[in-house]
Amino acid sequence: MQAGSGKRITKELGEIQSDPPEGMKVTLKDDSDLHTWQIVMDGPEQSVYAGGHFKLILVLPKDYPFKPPVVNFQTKIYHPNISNDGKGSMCLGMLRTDEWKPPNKIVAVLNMTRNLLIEPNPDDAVESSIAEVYKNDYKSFEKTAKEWTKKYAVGK
Amino acid sequence: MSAESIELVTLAIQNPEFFDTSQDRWTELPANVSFQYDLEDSIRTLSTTGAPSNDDISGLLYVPTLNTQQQVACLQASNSSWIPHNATHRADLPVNYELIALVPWLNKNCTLAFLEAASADLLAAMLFYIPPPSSNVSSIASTLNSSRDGGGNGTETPPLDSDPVWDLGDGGSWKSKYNFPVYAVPSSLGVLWMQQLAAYSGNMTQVPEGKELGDLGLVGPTDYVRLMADISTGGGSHIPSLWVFLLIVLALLIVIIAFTSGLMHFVARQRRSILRRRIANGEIDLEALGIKRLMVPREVLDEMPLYPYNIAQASAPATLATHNRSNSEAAKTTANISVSVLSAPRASRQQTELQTTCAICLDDFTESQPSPSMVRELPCGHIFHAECVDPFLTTHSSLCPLCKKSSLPVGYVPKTITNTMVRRERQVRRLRGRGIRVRNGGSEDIVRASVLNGHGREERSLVERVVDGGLHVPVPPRIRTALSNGRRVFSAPAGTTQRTAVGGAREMQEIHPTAATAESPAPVTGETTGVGPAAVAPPSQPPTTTTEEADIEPTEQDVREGPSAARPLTLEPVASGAEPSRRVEKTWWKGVAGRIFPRSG
Repeated sequence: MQAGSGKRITKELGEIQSDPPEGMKVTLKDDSDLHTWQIVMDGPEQSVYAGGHFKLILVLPKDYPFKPPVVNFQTKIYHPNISNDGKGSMCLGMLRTDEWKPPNKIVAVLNMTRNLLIEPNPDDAVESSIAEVYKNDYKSFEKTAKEWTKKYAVGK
Repeated sequence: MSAESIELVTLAIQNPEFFDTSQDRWTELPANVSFQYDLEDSIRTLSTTGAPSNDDISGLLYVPTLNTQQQVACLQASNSSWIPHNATHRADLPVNYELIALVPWLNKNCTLAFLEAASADLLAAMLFYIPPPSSNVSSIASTLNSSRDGGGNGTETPPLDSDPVWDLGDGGSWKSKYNFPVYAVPSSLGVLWMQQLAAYSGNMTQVPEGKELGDLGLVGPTDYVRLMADISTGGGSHIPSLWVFLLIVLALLIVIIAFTSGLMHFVARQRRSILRRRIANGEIDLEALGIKRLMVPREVLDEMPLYPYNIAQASAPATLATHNRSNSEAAKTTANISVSVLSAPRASRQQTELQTTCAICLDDFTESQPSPSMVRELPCGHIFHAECVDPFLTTHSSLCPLCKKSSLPVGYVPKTITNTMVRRERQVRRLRGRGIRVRNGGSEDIVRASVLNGHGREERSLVERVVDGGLHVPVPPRIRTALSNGRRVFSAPAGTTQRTAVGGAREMQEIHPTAATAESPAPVTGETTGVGPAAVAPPSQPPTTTTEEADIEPTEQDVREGPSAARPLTLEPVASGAEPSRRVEKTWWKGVAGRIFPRSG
C-alpha cells in the first residue's frame, strides 16, 4: 500500500500547492519526506487570530489514507480546541481514528482547521479553562487571544 | 504454649545411690495412698518462653532455694511463712530429673529472686500462685484437702497475664528473659500444693502414709517419694486441629472460587452465544456499533464482484434525478418491508458507473482497453480500485470507506466472540436505552423544530436542549458527552462532525463538480444555506413527517443533513419499536457518509 499512499499524497500535495486554500501556504518540511507537511495558516480575517501566521505540522501516517493525519500547531495559540502544552495538538472530530474515512482529503482537514479558528468549539474542548472563558467571558477570551496572536504569531 | 491442665501425682523414685540406674527408676503411686490433683483449667499462662511446642512439660515439683542475699531482699517485705521450712528443695530430690518450681508471688523482689534462683536450676517450668490475703494457711488447706481431686472446684483463675499484678517494673521483659515457661495457678491450690510439697520432702518415715506404702511394697525404704507435676500444654493436640481448620478453610475457598469461576465462565459463554445468535440474525452490527473493528476475510472478499471498469452503461447525469427518484421509491418499498438495503437486489449496478473516481487513491477509473481499472464493488454499490480497497477491507475495517456500510454479509459472525465484545454490546444497549428514555420524555415539537431548522449550530443547541434543558429528565454526563461528541456508540450529532461534514462536502464539490447531486432529488443548496431536511425533501414529503416513512426517506435526505437532523427522526421507531437498532445505525451512517461524499455521478 506504500506506493499507492505515496501516489495519493503526491497528488493531494500537487492539488493543494497549485490551488492552495485561502490563507494557507503548504510545503514539505523536508523534500525527501512526503509524510510531513508544513503549513503556514494565516489567522482568518473575521477571527480573533487575524494578522497572525500560525505554523502547523501535518504528519501523514504510513498507511494514510486508512489512518487519519495528525495536525499539530507549532505556534502557540489561545484556543479551546488546541492544546497549550507545547505540542499544540488539535481536537478535530474528523481526525479521530474511528471517525476518519479514507476519502477524506487533507484540504478538507485544513479547511476544518481554519473553520475551527473562526469558530472554536468549546463543547469539545482540549483546554477546558479556555473553553470556560470563551463561553462565559468572550471579551476576555478575545483579548487574550489577540494578545497571544500578537506575541507569538506576528512577524515570524 | 499455654497450659491447659496440670496434673499432680506422687512418685516413688528409687535412690540412684543404691540401684542400678539402667532400669525403670520410678513408679506412680496410687491415688488412695498418695496425693494427686488434676487441675483442668483456671491456669494462666504468663510466659511461654522455652516451652516445647508439641509436648507436655513434666518435672518434679520443688521450691528454689534462695541464697542469703536474695533471702534478705525477699524477706524484707514479707515473712517466709508461705514457704514451709521443710518444703521440697533441690537438695531433697535425686539428680538428673526435670524440675518444675512452685513459688508464691509475694512481691517484686521475691519473685525476681526466685526467678533468678530457678534459672540456675535449669528447670522445665515455673508455677506461681498469689498467696491469699488470709494467712490462715491451714484452714484453707484443710478445706481444699477435703475436696482433693476436685478438678479445680472452688478455685479462682489467677489474673490475666496483662494484669498489673504480674508487673515486675520492667515492662514484662522478665517473661522472655528466663528460658522457661511460667504459669500461674489459683491461690488456694498453690497453698495446698505447697503444703503437700512440705509433706513429701523427707524420707519414708516422714512422708504421709509412708508406712502403708512400705507395707504395700510399693516403696523401698531408701526411695524418694516426691510430687511430680505434668503440665499439658495442649500443643500436641492444638496444632493439628489448627492445620485441619486452615485446610478446611482453604478447601472451602478453592471450592467457592472454582464454583464462581465456573459459573462466570458459563454465563460468559452463554452471553457469547446469545450475542453470536443475535449477530447471525442480523440484529447487531458489531462494527457499526463501534464494538469491534472487523476485517473482511479473504474468502468473503473474493465473493465481491471484481470486474474491469466500464462506463458504457453509465446513465447521463441528466437522467439522474428521475432515476434516483424511482430508486428512492424502490428503497422505500424495500425498507418498508424491513429488508435491509444490503440484501436488496444489486440494482445498484447502474449507480456504480456513476462513480468515476476511486475515493481511496483519488485517481479516476480508466476503461482504456489495454488495462482497464479492475474495480471491486462492495455490497453497498460503491466501487474502488481493487488494489486500493482490498488492503483496506482486509486490514483496517469492513465498513465501506464511503458510506460506512458493512461490506460483510448480513449475519456474518466473526470467528471469535470475545467477552469484551459482549460487554461493549451490553454497554451500547444500555446507553441506547437511556438515550431513548430521554428522547421519549422529550417534546415532539422541540425535536421537530430542530429538524426543520437544519442549521448546524442551531441544531446542536436544540439537540442539547432536547437532551438536558428542555426536559426535566436528568441526563447522565456520559450520555451528554456522547451526544455532543457524536460518538458512534450513540449515533448522535456533534459540532465537529458537523463541520467536518460541511467542509468535506464543500471540498468534494470543488473537486468534483459532478458530486453536486447525489441520489437525492433535493436541491444542493440545502446544505450550504442551512435549510433543513424537511425543506429539501421532495414536495411529496410533508416537512413534518416523522413517521416510519420519514425514517426511511432521510436515508436519502441525510445525504444533505447529517446526523443531527437525522437522529431525532430516526430514533422515532426506536422509541416505539423493539429492536430496530440496526436500521437506526445504518440510517445514521448513511447520512454522514452521504453528506460528506455525495455519490458522484
